[in-house]
Amino acid sequence: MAHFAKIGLNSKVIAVHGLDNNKMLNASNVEDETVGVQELTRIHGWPLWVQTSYNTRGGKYYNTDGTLAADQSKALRGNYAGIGYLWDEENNLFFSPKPYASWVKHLPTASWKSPIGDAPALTAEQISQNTANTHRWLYNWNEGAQSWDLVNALA
Amino acid sequence: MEKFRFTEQFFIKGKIDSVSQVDTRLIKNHILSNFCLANRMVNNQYWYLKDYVKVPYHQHIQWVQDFLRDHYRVEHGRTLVLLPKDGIRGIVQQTGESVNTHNHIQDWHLADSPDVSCLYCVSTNEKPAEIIFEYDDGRNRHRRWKVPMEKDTFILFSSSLNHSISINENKDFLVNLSLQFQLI
Repeated sequence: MAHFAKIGLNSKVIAVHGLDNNKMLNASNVEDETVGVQELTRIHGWPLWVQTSYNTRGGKYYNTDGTLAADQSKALRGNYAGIGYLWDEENNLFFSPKPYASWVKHLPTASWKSPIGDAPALTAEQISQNTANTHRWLYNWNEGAQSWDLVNALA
Repeated sequence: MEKFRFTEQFFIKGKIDSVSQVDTRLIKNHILSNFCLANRMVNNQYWYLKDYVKVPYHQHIQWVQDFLRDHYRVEHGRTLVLLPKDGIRGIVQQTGESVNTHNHIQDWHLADSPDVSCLYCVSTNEKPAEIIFEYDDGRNRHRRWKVPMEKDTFILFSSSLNHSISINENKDFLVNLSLQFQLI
């Protein structure tokens, strides 16, 4: 089963459809995305489709059992597209919806990063408190202050 | 202070993107080809449904539904599902005819009533008719909002909104596609 994202004019993914692999074979009996797009256009009367990989996320291809695949050449377009995802035609990647206005694209992982990078790592003490369930330390992004705020979710 | 909203009534006006292969001419012909006494929703000339005709499946009507469902879902987070019974109707107004004020909630059959209705204008007449919404806003009662129904334009609106369609002032029939959806 192949999967295709239906793209709206604002580059948002508006639906994802499955297509039998037999329906996207070209004259040489090889799977061809263009043939799949033609078939979906005929059925749905909508011409904007882009193939997406069910097993690709964060720029990596995973096996069906969830383990990282040895052959990463199968990784396709960053992420498996979902409704509301953004299609970045320039970089040939699908991105999840932008979480905050200030966040920027990180192409190698097809994800969004804060302008100051990832949240700091928790200290060993905070991790042990989380493990003991006395606290639940985590960092939340503060868009107004453009910083990572350490909070205890149990407080 | 935190404000809670219990309910809302709305209308959304838009056009189907030009890349879509929806052909309104084919939909209009399909509705007119089903415009006969046997397909009238009701024969009571005093009821608004007298102008409605049952319309069977058509590929281009399905594409209209697909467009509305996909775009409404991505913008508003709910899915429009066509009513299984009589969810697709045509409205044909002859010269001088209008459609009486009504809404689409069946008080005696709420389970089969729609949440959202759609009017899709497939006519090419010179003088567009208007859909007139009537609503109350607290002590401001019987307010009205007129929306011209231009060719290729769809109007999605709350099915509970009272509305009417103004007189067809053209020599040709005024043809609209009516779709009724429930939200899931």
